[in-house]
This record gives sequence, C-alpha cells and structure tokens, in this order.
Amino acid sequence: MWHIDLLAAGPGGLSRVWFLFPLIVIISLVYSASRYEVSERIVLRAGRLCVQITGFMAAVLGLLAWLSSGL
Amino acid sequence: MSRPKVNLKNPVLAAILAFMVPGLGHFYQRRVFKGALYCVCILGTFFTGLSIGHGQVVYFHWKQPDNRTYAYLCQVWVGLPALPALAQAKLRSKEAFDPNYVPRRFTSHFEGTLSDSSFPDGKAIGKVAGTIELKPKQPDSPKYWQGIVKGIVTTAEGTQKIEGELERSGPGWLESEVAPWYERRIAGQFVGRVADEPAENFKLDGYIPRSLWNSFEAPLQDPRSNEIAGDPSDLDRAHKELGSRFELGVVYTMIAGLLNILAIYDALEGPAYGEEEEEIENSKPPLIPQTT
Repeated sequence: MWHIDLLAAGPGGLSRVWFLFPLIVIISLVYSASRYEVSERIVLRAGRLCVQITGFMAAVLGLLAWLSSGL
Repeated sequence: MSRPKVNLKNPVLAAILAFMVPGLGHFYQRRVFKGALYCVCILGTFFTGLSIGHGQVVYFHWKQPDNRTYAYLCQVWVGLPALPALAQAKLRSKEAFDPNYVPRRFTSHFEGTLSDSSFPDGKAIGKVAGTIELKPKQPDSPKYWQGIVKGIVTTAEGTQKIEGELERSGPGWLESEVAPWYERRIAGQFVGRVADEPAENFKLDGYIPRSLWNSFEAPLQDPRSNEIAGDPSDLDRAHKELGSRFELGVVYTMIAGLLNILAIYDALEGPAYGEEEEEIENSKPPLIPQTT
C-alpha cells in the first residue's frame, strides 16, 4: 500500500492538504463570477470548476504517488 | 472589447473602488451578489492567510536584494488591507527597526519574569506586572536606555510591591520599535527593592506591548541593520515560529490579491461572457407566450 503522508497532521494539527479545499472553492467562485453575471450560472459553473480542479489534482496526486511508490 | 449589457455606471471609478476594497466597485454598480461574493471570498482568503501566518506574511521590503518581497506584488492587489505594509516600509525611519533604540522618554505597561542574578541560569523568583518608564541614558545616546519599573511581583509567598531600575548592561536587550509581533521584548540588569527589603541585583526579562501601528504588516528585517554575528534575524524568527505556516499564509494572501485583479477587471469591463450569456438567455423560448 502506498504511504501518502500528505494527509498527515501539519501546522496546528491539520494537514496542509486541507488548506487546499477552501482555496479551490474560492478560486472557482471568483473565476466564475468574473465570467458570468447571473448568480445561478455563477454558482453552477463554480461547482463544475471546483469538481474539475479537485479531479485534476487528485489525478496528479495519484500519478505522483504511483511514480514514487517504488522509491 | 465588446461592451456588455450590464450597467457599469462609471467603470473607472468602480475599478478604483474594487481595488480599494474587494467588492466595493460592484456594490457601487448595484451588482450586489457579485459584490458580496468578491468581498467575502477575497477578504476572507486574505485575512485567513494573514491569520495563518500570525500577521507576519504581508510586508514590503525592497532595499536588501536578498530579502525582496516579490509576494507583495501579488498581495497589494487586495487594496486597502495590504497598503499599511507600504506605509510601514516608506514612512518609517531606519532607527525604528533598530534594537535598543530609545530616542525619547515614554511609559508603557510591562510584564516579565524576575530572576536571581547570582545564578548563571537565572533561577526565577516571580512574575512582575506593572509599568515601565523608558528613556535614553543620556540625551545624546539613544542606544543606551534605562527604565524605571513599578509594579507588583507575584511569588510563591504572595504578591509584593516592586520598584527599581532596569538597564541595558551585559545581556540587556530591547527589541526594535517596529516589528510584526505584539510583544516587544525587553531584558536587562534590574536593581530594585521588593517590598521594604534593601535594593538588590536581579535579572528582569519581559515585554512591553507594541501598538497596532508599530506591528501591523511591519517588515521582517533580514539581516537587522546592526545585527550581531550569529544573532537570528526577524525573518529567521518568523520561519522558526511558523514553519510551513509561513508559506501557507503567503500563498493565501497572494491568491487573494491575484483574485482581486479579476474582480477589478470585472468592475471595469463587465463579465467576460456577458453578451454571450445574454444571447443564450434570449434564445430561450419565453416562459409566458406573447399574444399579438
């Protein structure tokens, strides 16, 4: 089994990875707000972008974990 | 660029307002939802970052090439909340960042620990709380200070009055007037009287509070202007205290500034897909069929 210590406790007893999720939500919301004007569309697009960013980063994390598994 | 069908009022004024306070330009344009969203998200990210970094991650420092705060070039776009850093760097005299510098007499609250000076490791006697009146030892030598301490000392036996003189001698130390910490450390040789006992020599190590103006977004010095070899600089101290929180705080505040660039542009030019969105909405069949 891969050992991923990214989720281990960091500053203040909280892993650094958990600091990422509020940033993803905020970046998605602000980016979408700068693209669209209607509030429903902003929220909808932000939700979609949020999922895309999280999925992309999870894929990269998985790839890196796989590449480093034999080290 | 095509003009969107959003009433931007005076777009330049809105952009300036959006720079000053994230979301304010949009409130001026009566785009309340977007104004609230920008305000909460951007200011929330900025102050969260500042809090993660214990107020030490937003500052402007450009004179020393090894310690230039390139991150501030991103943070400054948050507007008013980041501008005090610029004021701290530009409006302060060089001496304000020097330790042991007391140019004039002042009185402050003081808290500290009284120790026995006859032991090398300084055996603690009790906690001192009171006031300290600091002044330069001689009017023309602000680097040598002395202070009159008055207050109470709390020991295992109870509380007693304490009064005496604290001096910069031997390992005596007073931190600089301006630094991003609330507590300004002061330590030195203390000659004073506890209750009605005769005057004795002690060590006194404590702190006096810094005002908001002397601490908020104050620059971290690296190295200090009169640093002694081997003495940790402000930047060393911040990294030691915060660890990875320092970088996290910098990243949060930088992202907040960069996001506000999007908000400023939105206030100036409207949403990027404003017209396209309008067209999509118009192409939908009306909810209530129109009768001719």
